[in-house]
Amino acid sequence: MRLKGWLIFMIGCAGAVMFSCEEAPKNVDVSVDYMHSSMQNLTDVIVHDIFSPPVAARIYAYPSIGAYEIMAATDSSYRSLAGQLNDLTSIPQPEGEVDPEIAAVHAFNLLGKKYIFSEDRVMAFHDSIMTDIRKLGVDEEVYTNSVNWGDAVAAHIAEWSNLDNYSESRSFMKHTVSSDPDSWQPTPPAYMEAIEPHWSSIRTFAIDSADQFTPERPTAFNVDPESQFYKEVMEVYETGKSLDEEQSEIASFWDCNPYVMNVHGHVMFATKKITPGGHWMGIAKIAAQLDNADFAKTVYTYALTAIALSDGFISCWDEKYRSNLIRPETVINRYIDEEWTPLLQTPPFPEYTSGHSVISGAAGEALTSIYGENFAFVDSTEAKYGLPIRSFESFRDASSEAAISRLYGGIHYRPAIDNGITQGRALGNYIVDKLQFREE
Amino acid sequence: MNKIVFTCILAAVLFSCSSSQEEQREDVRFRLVSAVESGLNFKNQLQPDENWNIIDYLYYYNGAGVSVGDINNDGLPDLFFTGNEVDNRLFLNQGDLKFRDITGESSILPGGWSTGSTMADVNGDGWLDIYVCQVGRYRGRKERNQLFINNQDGTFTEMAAEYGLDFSGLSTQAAFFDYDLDGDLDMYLLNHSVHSVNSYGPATIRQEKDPMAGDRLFRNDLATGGVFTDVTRNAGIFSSQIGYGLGLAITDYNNDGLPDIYVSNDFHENDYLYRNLGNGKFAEVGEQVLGHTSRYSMGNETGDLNGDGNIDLVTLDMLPGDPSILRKSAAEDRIEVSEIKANYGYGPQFVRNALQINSGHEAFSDLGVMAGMYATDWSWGALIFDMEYDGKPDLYITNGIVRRPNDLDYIQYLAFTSRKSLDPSDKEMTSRMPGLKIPNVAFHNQGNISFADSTTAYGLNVPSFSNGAVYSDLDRDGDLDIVVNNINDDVFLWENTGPAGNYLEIEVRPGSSNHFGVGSRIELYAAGQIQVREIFTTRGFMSSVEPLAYFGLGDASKADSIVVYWPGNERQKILNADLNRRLTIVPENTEKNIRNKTNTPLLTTSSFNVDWQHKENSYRDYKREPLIPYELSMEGPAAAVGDVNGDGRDDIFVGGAHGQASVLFLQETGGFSKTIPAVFTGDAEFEDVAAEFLDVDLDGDLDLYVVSGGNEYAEGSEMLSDRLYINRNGTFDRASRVLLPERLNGSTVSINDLNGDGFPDAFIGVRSVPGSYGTFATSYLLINNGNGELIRDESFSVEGMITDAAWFDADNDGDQDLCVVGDWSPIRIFLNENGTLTDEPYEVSGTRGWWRSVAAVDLDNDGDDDLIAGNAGLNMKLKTSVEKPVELYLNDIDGNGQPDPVIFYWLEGQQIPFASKDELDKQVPVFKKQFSSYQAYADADDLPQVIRQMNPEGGIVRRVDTFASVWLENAGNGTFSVSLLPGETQWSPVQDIFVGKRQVKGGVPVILGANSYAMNIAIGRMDAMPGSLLLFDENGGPELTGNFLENGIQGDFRVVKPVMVNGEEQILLVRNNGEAELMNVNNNR
Repeated sequence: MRLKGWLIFMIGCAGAVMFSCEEAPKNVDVSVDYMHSSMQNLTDVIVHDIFSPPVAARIYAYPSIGAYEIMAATDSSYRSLAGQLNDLTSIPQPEGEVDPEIAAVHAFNLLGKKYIFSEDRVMAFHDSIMTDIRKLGVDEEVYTNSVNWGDAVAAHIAEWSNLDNYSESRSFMKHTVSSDPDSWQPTPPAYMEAIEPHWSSIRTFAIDSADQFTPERPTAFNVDPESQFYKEVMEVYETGKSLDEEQSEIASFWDCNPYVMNVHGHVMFATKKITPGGHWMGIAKIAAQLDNADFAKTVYTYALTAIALSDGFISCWDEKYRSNLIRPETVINRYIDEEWTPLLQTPPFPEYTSGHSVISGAAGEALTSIYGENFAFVDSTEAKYGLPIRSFESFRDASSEAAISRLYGGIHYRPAIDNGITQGRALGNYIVDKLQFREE
Repeated sequence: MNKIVFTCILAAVLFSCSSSQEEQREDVRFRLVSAVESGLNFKNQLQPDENWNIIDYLYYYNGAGVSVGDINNDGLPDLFFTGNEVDNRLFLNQGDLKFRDITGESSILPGGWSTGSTMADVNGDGWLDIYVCQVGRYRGRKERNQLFINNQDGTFTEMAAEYGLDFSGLSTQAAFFDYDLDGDLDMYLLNHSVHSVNSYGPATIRQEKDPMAGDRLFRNDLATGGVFTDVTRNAGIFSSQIGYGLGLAITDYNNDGLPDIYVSNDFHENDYLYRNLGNGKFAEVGEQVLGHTSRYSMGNETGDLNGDGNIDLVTLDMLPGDPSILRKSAAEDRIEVSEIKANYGYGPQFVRNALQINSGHEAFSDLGVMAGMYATDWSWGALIFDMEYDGKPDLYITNGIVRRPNDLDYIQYLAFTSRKSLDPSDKEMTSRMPGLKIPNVAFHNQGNISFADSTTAYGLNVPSFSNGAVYSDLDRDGDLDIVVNNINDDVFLWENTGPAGNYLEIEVRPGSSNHFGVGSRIELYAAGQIQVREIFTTRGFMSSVEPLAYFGLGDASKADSIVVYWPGNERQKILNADLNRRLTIVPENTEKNIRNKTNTPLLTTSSFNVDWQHKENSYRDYKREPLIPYELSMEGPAAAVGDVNGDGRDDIFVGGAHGQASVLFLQETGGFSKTIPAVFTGDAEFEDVAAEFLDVDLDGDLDLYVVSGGNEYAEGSEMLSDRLYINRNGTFDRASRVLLPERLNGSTVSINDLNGDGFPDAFIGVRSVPGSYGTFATSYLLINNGNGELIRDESFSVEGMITDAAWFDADNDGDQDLCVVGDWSPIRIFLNENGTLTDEPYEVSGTRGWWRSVAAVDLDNDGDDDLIAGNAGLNMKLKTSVEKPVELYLNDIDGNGQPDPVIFYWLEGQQIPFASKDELDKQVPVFKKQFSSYQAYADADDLPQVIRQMNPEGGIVRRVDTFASVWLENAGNGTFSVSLLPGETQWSPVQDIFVGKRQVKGGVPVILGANSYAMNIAIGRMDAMPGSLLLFDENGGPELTGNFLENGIQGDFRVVKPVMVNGEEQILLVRNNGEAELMNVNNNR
């Protein structure tokens, strides 16, 4: 491990030397706020366009990596992910004098546009910030060179992303509902089909394979009241019926369901919110701002968090369609209480493991690796959606709460939470250990 | 404040609209009589507030009703309007379309949230009373239904409680009729429900009584000193929380003299058709008698629309007819939701108006799509009456909703992106919902079960939100006027001013306490036509008409005969009645009614039972191909007939779906013995779609060729290998089985000795490339090498989506040519030249179709072989013509390696994709980038061009010229002339064709097996005609001699084959996912 790191360091150093020869005097100070607001805009479009959690994580990852690669190419303290992430090769070199921050913001938005639907919403935002940036007095040639470089990097990243099997997987078989008593069934009120049954076929970013972090087997389905499974079902049922105020608040705070369908007779409408990944990208922003992170550290934060989230979803979804486990709502309605509904709307995919637990575990480790063990912060990510703010002692504290919220919300049994957070933290630590972002 | 401004704007729009249309309406049929002119200043004005709106009460915009009847017996029909938030009002007809509001002086009390009203002589004194339904016991509403008893002096007394009819709950409408034929009027009360549809429960919920929702039946016990008694449960009427009753019709659908009940239920609950058993009980027979129904069933109506003397049914739904509105509106369920509903036990329902044509044999066929009346947007009331008095009753439909909750942008995007503390109010959520006034629709009956939209031609195209409506000759000038209750606008009074034919108004007076003869059936014969009316007054939506029969008679100079079937069992006939008057008929010279005995059935079950059921496996093609128009994995079963064991008797082979072993039925003296050879058990995983017996090795016994198919496995999968089973001393064993090398999704096998070497050869049709709808597959020939081996002939191939083939002598040269049919291709004939088939086929022009079957025989007895070809039929939303063809555009639009099949069709002058935007998004995710809102998609022009531009490289276009089933007369000179098969053969896809031998009568009998339950949800189950029998006489033309429905046979038929049983030809009928049956054909009945 040390040896490998050393070799990469050598190559990276050579690159840094080359760029330092072309030190650009006419660069302006592009505020990191442009990066944050670009990310916020991407989140807003993801919410509007309704992307499922795994797909949303993928949308965060490529633009963040694109921006990061630009900064790493120009900042000697950072190291490119080329050769570190699966199939990623080095980005093109800039031509002429460039401002990397302009290139990074530009590439980020171009890539964001590629993965969402409402392109005009991304481009309107992009055009407005680029206009602002030009007003800062940047040299025309530097600006043009930067935009051209951003274009080239975006094209490079796009080409890489095109081979991750996402496009092909759009035509794969949809999930077939089985009639086995332990198998997942569509849930009320919209009875949507199970989303992304082939997500494990998407190329991972940093982990070796989708099944590298296969969790323990879930408790065997059993409706005998003496069985372990039945006890776990009853824990969900009883917990849901006796929630205290804080538990309800926790459940709602971490709901992160991008598409809740409300049904009143003929009247139906969707309530839309950020995804679990979107929530963690929000925490990444809060951490970076609290730390007064500079532009490069900010995109590093975003890139690592998004990679952890994306691989977390692939790992989790691999397990979901392996175990294809029935949701508590279905079991309780069938065997215990026909009228029971969970506090949160059950999302449309199998139960085991809990997606929020896995990805929160992974993202929590990623952020801890950057900002440390005891980084206290106030999470206001959900304030925009009418939810209160909550304070945490650390990222792990937050990730543990996100995990247990699924029990309060009535959408997961305890093993999906406990084994899910174990799965996510192991995955997160693996990524943190494997990827070398910083030159040492 | 905002509300008031908003209302004013709406009103202003309406007035400018109607005034500009006023000028154009000079010479059209209907004239809108203003409220000022008529005095009918009634407006069902709604003002939603925070606690009472469409979110809190889902039926907030369902509107209110109108009743017409002569309440003071002065000969002029009076009008009663209900209001939801305004008071109900009664208007007295003063003649010349002038009305006076007598609400106050008549002591009609205000209601609460009033819904339906019914005028009926409840107490049997010869004066019409008024029953008014209310919403009560819900969200603080406490009102009870009201019964206003006519005091015979222009005033009324509310006496619902005294009569036992003061129900309080979620009432929609009542009907008064004499279900037990005891001479007084009983009451059926239609209620709706507000039970949340958050959870679908199993259909068995309908057995559980609900206090507020669910219907009620009240028996009139006044004659025995009682009141109205609730007999719901004993009578067998469902009364549950899933009774979302929005439409009620009373009719004697089976013409047995007993009034039956049809209930339209909204949402997932089935509609109910209650057959009156005559013993005070009803049996709900909807699923037996109706192939499918409307889904969000609203109003309904009954009447004979095709002039066969049987009462047909109309039910309304909410499918938009406007291609732009259609593209942004939610309609059919997603496939997974429809599967859940089916698993819960609900019957098949589709989001469209239904026109259930009554066969007269306890079976209806929904021909709404073929007739062109299936899509009229949010539709409430249907009325069947003769607008022109031309002898053919027409159809008038009220529609419109103030807020469109099925607007997809509203559901997905406009609502909101937050919850809890930032929740907008219900009122705010309501106001974000878009609304649109649309005109009610007038359909002119053109005969032959087809309607023309005459809304504009008749001057009726005024946009509105309309609900209850009635027809009546209000000015007594010999034609029918229309009155409509509108939300937020004055009622419409449409005076019929157009030229009208002769007419006759008939009132019946049986002289019982059923004073107005409710339940009488009147048949009128004139000009060679029969017309039927029933005196049942609850019609349209929340409304009631007069107890009168209005007949339009066109140019007829008299009514040749009138037959009145009195309630009970008496009838009487009146000859040569004069026209253009009101005729009152009282019982006189009545006779016992003798019901027509049914004829000997054409098809009867054979005493030789074939005990077998095809079980389709659960693979759903839509899971991989969201744009596929029908499933390609439901093509089985296979069936073949031949003497397997050499005992001189026909045996039967039936091949099952994936996972179901094939079966042999060996014929013995008394019946069939069923055997499953071990080799068939071992081959159960193959999906059998076609089979034929042939003596492949010329050893004197029959071998068996079985075609494997299915859209589930990729080409090259062993699951797609055809099998050849060699007969060894009467048995098929493992060692005798040959797996053939081609591994394609096969569809058909046709055996013939092509090259005259004495050994049978085979044409193998290939249905599709699995997973790639629309890509043409290659069908091929297998030539027998003389060693009993079938070897592919590399020099011959047919491209297409082939379904069937027939060998016949097309050019009269003594050898066997080949006709091949399939989807998106014309009928093709490959000529046999010296033992090989030519590459270049003769293509019958104008015959690109969705062919399902072909058969060859000399139909016209002129010495050459003709053809019959079965197509998808004409009862489909997809309508095609040479000028406006249905098109398939096939291209990999998003470059993901899967060709995307987009089917376009023409609707109201626009060529649009048949699939919904959601389905297109699913197949082609970049489509969401192209149109990021439903509104943008709805507004787009020239969608075929837009979609082509998404990937200008490549792309294939295929077209359909016709969906009609045809026969082709061989002119003998190598050309064929094409003629349509008659009438009901066009109602369903014709899947298989059996051609009999020339009979004594000189005709060729033909039996068509039809229907398809494999269509996607937007096309819907095609179940209108499971099979027909035809006779081709030697002068050519085919004549319909019968159909399966008349014989009580329904199903999705795939195979029709003859079987000789004891020297007599019987017919084997085999269904997909259903039973096989052997039938006797009683040709000599």
